[in-house]
Amino acid sequence: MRGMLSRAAENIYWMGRYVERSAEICRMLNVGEQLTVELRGLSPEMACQFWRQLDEIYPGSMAPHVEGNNVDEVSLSYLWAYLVGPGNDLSVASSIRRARENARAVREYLTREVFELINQCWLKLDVDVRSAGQRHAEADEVVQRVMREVYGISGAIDRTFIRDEAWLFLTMGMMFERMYRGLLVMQYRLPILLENPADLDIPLHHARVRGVLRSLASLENYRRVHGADLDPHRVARFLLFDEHTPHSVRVCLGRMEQAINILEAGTGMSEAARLIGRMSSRLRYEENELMALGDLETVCAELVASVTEVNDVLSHQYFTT
Amino acid sequence: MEWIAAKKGFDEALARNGDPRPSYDDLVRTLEGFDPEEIARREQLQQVSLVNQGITFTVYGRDEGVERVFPFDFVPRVITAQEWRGVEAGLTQRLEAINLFLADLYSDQKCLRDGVIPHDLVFERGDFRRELIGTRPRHGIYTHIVGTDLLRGDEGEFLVLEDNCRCPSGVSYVLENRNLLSRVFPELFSQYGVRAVDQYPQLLLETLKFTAPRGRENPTVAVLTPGVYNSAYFEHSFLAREMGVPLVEGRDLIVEDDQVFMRTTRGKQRVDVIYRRIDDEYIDPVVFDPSSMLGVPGLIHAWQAGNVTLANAPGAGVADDKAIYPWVPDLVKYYLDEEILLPQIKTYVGRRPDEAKYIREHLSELVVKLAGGAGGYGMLVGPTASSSEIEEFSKAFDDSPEAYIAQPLVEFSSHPTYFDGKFQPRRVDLRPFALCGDGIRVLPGGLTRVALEEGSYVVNSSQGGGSKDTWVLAEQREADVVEGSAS
Repeated sequence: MRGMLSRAAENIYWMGRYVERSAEICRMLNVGEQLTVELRGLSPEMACQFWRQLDEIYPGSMAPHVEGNNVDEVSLSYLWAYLVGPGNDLSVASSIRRARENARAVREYLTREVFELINQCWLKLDVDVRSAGQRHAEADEVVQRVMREVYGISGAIDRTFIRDEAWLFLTMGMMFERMYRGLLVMQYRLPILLENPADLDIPLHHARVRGVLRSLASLENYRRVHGADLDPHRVARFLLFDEHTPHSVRVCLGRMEQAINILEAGTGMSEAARLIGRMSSRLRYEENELMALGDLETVCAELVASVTEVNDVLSHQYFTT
Repeated sequence: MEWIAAKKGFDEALARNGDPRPSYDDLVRTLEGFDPEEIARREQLQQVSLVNQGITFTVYGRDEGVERVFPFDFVPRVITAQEWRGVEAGLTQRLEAINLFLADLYSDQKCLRDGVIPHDLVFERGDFRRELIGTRPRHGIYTHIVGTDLLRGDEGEFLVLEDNCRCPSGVSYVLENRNLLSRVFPELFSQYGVRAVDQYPQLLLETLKFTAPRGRENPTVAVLTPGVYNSAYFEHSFLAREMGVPLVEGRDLIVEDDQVFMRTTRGKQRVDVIYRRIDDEYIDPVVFDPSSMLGVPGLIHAWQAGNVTLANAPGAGVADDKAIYPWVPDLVKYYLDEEILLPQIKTYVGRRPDEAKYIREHLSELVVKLAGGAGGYGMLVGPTASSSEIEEFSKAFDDSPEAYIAQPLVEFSSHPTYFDGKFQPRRVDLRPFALCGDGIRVLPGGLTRVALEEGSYVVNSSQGGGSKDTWVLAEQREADVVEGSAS
């Protein structure tokens, strides 16, 4: 495999991260809207907590903080802030804008279809940014549309991209983002659900577990494997270790491992490949040891630290030559 | 549908009596078959297509760094095979002479010693790079890619307005315009044999490879761009994509031992030919502007050592300087012993005191330009300017008359352009592109720029101009037209 420009590899890696990030945020907002409807009359505090946890899953965002537990106010504020919020670098609009900036910088590596879909998605969002309304219904519409468009972009990538080095960096970017955000969702949302369900209102509890699974596009997949039993421990293991569901940490890491192995075929093992390989092996073969490290929050925090190191080493190794 | 012929100057499509010229006959008939609603629908389609594909340029000045779509008018411009033969021969001759001039200027300077062109005029030009004297690029080619701006005079004759020997832009729009028109208005092509333009990237790549340093059998070619914020970034990216070569920025390149490398994910990879779209001043901070963040330190030295080809070569810009332009016919005669085939426009040079006086006294009749300017900036179109604009300009002119040249306003040709349900005359120019490698090749067609405002003479994209698809007819079509007219 021929080498590609380091700068272009970085641009395409980040294009992948931003495209994936926009899908993750959209899904989260969509789930938030549904949970708000479900929980409004039962536990507005829980609904507000769901929204406020976005600040932890997307640390460093500039979303405004809203005091109190008026669920409509809180949800509307977070919804717009994470959709098109001015100044929020971790909004859907910001992610698509950056995906497009990166795509422009590496247009010679992209197919016409992929660039056009990203460009179209941004052009429509740009209008939304400038005319952002203040109603749930409008935001819902934009969220649904962007979700469809991002799936369209992913489809175009899958169907039109040559499987060369650029593709490998794109894949690694997308898988990294999916895995990283997934771990943060688990770290901040699951621990509270692992408490004894008997102490909790079961319908509320199930609504929140479903919310976690749906945030990570895994509810239906979980049900096909484990049925309707929404046991949080099982959910945590499913999201971490399942070998088939596309949002599990194991699957994401496995795809990163495949990509870097192809990239480095015929050369010695690099630091990035070694780190990814080691982490992937732990998820494959050391499920019990990992879970014995401590509570789920600790396990997720450790995995977040490991994947962050992977990102740093990848950047150092390939992008800043 | 109403067709309005030009009241002043040559109308390319309509004769004085309002009838279509023979080469436009079928086109006019086909366009007559569309109703305004259908045209509006298709125009909307083409606009959406341009926006979605990101076929844009960046405008500076009024709106800092705003991406704009280059407006496209769907009524194509038709150039007959016979007309094109003259253009092609004239451009070939011109490019040959320009390369000989540059090779001479940067070596023996015979043309200066023989007094063909004033030596002080040349030495005053900022684009003449003394530090490059003695460097001979591969095959002696200095300017590999040229875009020459042409106008059509009162009788439809082509006139050279200026050459662009540094980084001529616009060819991407030539290809994209054809692509767009053939998708949105396919019917227009049905009666015509239009010569293709999509071979350009291949021709460009062949040209660049031909000029690679000696001994580099399978050369690595790259396009060098100032970056995504450059006004012509779309084109840089387009050409790199179409040629299948990397698009690099200055920070992607390093020079070691007078060889140029790009930073790749697998370490350094040697680069042999650079199609650079960065101006001389910024290309190497060691030799030119030391504050440049866009260039590559050591690049010029690597080029002088013969280890990398730069296309176009540094220093080539002196040949398209507006102050040199009046001497091009003399240069053609001197180097080729031929009369110039494509005529030029009478030009007054501000550095000559008598001509400066004439310019000052006739500002309201002349088009006055900065000799080193481009893009329509620093320019006065006297006949359409207000008295206050002329007064303001005259102050700038008096400050440094030597910086200006002036030409009489050419009532250049108009072409039907669609507005408000009517085909209205708008002025057009033409920028054909020629490549100099293993021979000189001229792309059949070129970028037709159109002044969209009624009565305007300014066709520049940065100042409200648009573009059209340019059709050069194949020889067979020519025969059909002549036969059709006779019968």
